Amino acid sequence: MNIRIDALVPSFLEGKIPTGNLWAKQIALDDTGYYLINANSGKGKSTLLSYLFGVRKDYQGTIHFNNKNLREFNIDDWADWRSKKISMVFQELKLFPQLTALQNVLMKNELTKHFSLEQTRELFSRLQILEFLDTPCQQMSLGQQQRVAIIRALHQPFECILLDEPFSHLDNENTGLALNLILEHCKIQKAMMIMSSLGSNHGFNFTEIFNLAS
Amino acid sequence: MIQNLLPGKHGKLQLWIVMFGSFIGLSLVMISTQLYLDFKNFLTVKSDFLSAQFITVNKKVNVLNTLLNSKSTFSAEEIETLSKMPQVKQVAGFVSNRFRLKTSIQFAGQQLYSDLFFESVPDEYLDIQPDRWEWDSVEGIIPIILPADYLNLYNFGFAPGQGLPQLTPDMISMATLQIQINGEGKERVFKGRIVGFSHRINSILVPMDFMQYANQNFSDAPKLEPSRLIVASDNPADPALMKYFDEQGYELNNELLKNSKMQSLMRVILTIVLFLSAIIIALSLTGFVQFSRLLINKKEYEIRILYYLGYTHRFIASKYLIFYLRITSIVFLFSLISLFAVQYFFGDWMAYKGFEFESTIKLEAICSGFALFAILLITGAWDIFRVTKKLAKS
Repeated sequence: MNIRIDALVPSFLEGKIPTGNLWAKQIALDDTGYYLINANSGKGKSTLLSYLFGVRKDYQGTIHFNNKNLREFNIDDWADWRSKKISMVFQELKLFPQLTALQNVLMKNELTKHFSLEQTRELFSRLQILEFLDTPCQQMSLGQQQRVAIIRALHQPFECILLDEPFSHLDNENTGLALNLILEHCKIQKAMMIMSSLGSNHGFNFTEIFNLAS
Repeated sequence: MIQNLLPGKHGKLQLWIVMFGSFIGLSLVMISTQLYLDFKNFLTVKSDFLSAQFITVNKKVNVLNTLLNSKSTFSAEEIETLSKMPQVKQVAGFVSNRFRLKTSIQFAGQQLYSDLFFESVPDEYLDIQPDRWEWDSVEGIIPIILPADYLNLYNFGFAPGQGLPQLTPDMISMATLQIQINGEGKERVFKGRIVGFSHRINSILVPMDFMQYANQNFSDAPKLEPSRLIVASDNPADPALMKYFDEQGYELNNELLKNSKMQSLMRVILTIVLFLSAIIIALSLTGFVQFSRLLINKKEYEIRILYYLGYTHRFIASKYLIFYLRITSIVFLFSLISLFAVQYFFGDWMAYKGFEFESTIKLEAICSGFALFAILLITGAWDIFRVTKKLAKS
């Protein structure tokens, strides 16, 4: 898929002079590129990703997915895209706290039927949280929950994966494991990746890096 | 997995209150419809005239009339005029005996004698059609219909004080009366048999063909004009008809209007009950809507995540709709049970009280409940759909 961003200005920057190399610019994101959105807190990383996921619409300018304006997406289009074409790991994770790690993942897999239970366990094992499979998420550490959220996001076909500070609670070792897993699945699915970060590129060579502030 | 989350278990108490309220509302509507229809049948005397009701009319008897010796009978013109009233379907005069008659009965060891009179009306004006309502000229057996009040007077007024047994219509029909008829210098003894009791006509009735036979053979008096008329009318309580009766100085049997008055009373009561039920149902509908919104609001966080996972708002709504369908169906089911129970026990109670009360479950009663159930369901479903969709858009 391709994404075209034209003269995008978020509501909090209206009437101000936009900074960085993304806001108010013309940008085209390619099929299989890996993109990093870089900025300090409060510069609009999460805002941008939530525009791309259809959660927020308070912007000027246009965003096109495959030449279709996001403003023309209706709720059925979004349901369709979110189950088949675009996946997201939220900064605030958005897990169901009372459900176990496995139940949280199955909540997605029951819709997409993407992996067998064996494959799901394999992913948990890769990210070293297999022993927490049946632990309610509210009893897990933030780092463990973050990995559950990543695994959940991989349980669907996608052409684009949005990752909002996905490794903020992970140590370097686990960050590496998680990043490799994500990249592996991006390759399998021939998908693009858009990741936000507080500045670190996690030792990975991104196709392009966007800064939201100069 | 999703059933672990939706619809959730909030507002148990509110759910019970709403379910109970709508149960009362639905039951009230169905039961009042049922009872109204039952009473309508009960109050509308069955007849060949279908919906017609009957009243007996006579001229007022007062001192002035008697002194002036004015007629208390109806002339042919008067009958003709009355029968042309728009409210009147048909009119017939009572035919009286013009011969002398006496009766005796062997009863409880005593021979009772009485002077008697007979009247006749055409058969289609009778409220009962007894099996043996045939004048048997060979055997000389006269079938007789008495006012139902007579039997009640005897059973509840006379018999207890005299230490006499109470009688059923069947027992009475087995007794035979000796009836002696005089006139024109002739005399003949007939047998009389009481074949039924009329609620409609307050007179001692014999078949018309017997009356004609006896008047011809035992009387040379000229044919009399009738002093009482029986009138078949769709709506005897019609004010225009009442006014006409009043102007002509006619008097009518008010007792027989009781039914049509009771019917209008029933209609008023039903209207009040239906109005109350409407309020109750409107309240329960609001309650149901509030309740399902409460459930959805309590799960707003979860529902939003499900939308982010790619679930459609139709899927989310369906989880609430199934739950909503289940609770409203339970309410409807219990209301139906209450309808059947009330119908069953009320019929029994009326029978116990001595009324010939026929009651079968009325389709209209079930339909009225089902219609409200459908309204409850559709409105609630529509609201659930709307609220979940709104959540998906925001």
